[in-house]
Amino acid sequence: MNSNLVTVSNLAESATNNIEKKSYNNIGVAGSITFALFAGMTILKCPTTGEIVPKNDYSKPSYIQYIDLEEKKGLFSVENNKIIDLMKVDNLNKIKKMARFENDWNGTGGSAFSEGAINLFIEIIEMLDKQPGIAPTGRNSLLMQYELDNKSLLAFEVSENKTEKVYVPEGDYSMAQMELFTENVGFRIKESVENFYGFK
Amino acid sequence: MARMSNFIYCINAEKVSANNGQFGGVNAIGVLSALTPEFVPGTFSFSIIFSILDIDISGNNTIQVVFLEQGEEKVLVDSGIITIPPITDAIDIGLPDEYKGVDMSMDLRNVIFETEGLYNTKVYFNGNLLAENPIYVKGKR
Repeated sequence: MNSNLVTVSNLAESATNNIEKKSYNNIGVAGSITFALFAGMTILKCPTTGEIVPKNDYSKPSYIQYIDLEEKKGLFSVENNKIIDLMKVDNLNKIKKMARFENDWNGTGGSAFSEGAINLFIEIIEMLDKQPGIAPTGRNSLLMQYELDNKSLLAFEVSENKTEKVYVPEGDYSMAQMELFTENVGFRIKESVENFYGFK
Repeated sequence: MARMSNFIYCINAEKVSANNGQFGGVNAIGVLSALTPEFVPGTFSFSIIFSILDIDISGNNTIQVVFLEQGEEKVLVDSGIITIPPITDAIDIGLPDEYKGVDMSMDLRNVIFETEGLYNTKVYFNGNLLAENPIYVKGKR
């Protein structure tokens, strides 16, 4: 296992207790039930450079182990085992099952997914470091959703021709912001997610 | 025979792209020796990282992660059975078979903790319980 770890103990967190749990039933022939636990993660700025970022709201740690990541060295020398994001694998498996849906798969006239739509969904999920909860719609689109502890919500409805983004700050739907984009969908979603979690 | 290695609880498992574009990595951000939500009862989000070695990655494998209070039957998180497809593009540097495998990460978001105490992550590989990794949960206030 690589030794490029930055560990910090006693991180100060501010979290409100919030949970939203949704279940998606009958995905695909297997009918597996997957629980999507929406994000309640407190905003944590990740030290992408490998340095402990002093502006973060960390309480004084009792112990810090710091190893310089050396950006140039990066992970060139890491010839290690394959890394698997289990949520990504799970999302990709769900999308593959969705690809086998036939018309009226949901009993209310839901259309089968086009090959182009499925390929787009796969491409986007592959790009995302932070995986969303996903759910199919009956209109050849995929819902992707993130939620924070403070009830802030970030959701996308991705279809072949357009993607609609909705951002709800702190559960206040009257302040909801909507955006529509048709190009560079994957990058736009990735950027939105990174901003949402404060990674940038 | 499959075995677990490097099990870590952390605040976030950061996926990192490799400079050469071939191998990525995962960084453990904020390693946790205990889970400390603000309040119990309350919710807490965290991630786990672990490795499974001495396995055949050229075929289908399944994994299931279950998180529950130790000694209790009620499951707080169940990933369900996740099928890991064959991995054919792994670079082989000639590691002994018992040290070949996969590194995995998973986010557990908004887990509800009703009581303080010892909790457990159980990892099942191909239907068999591979390992249990306990951690203590204590509210900050």
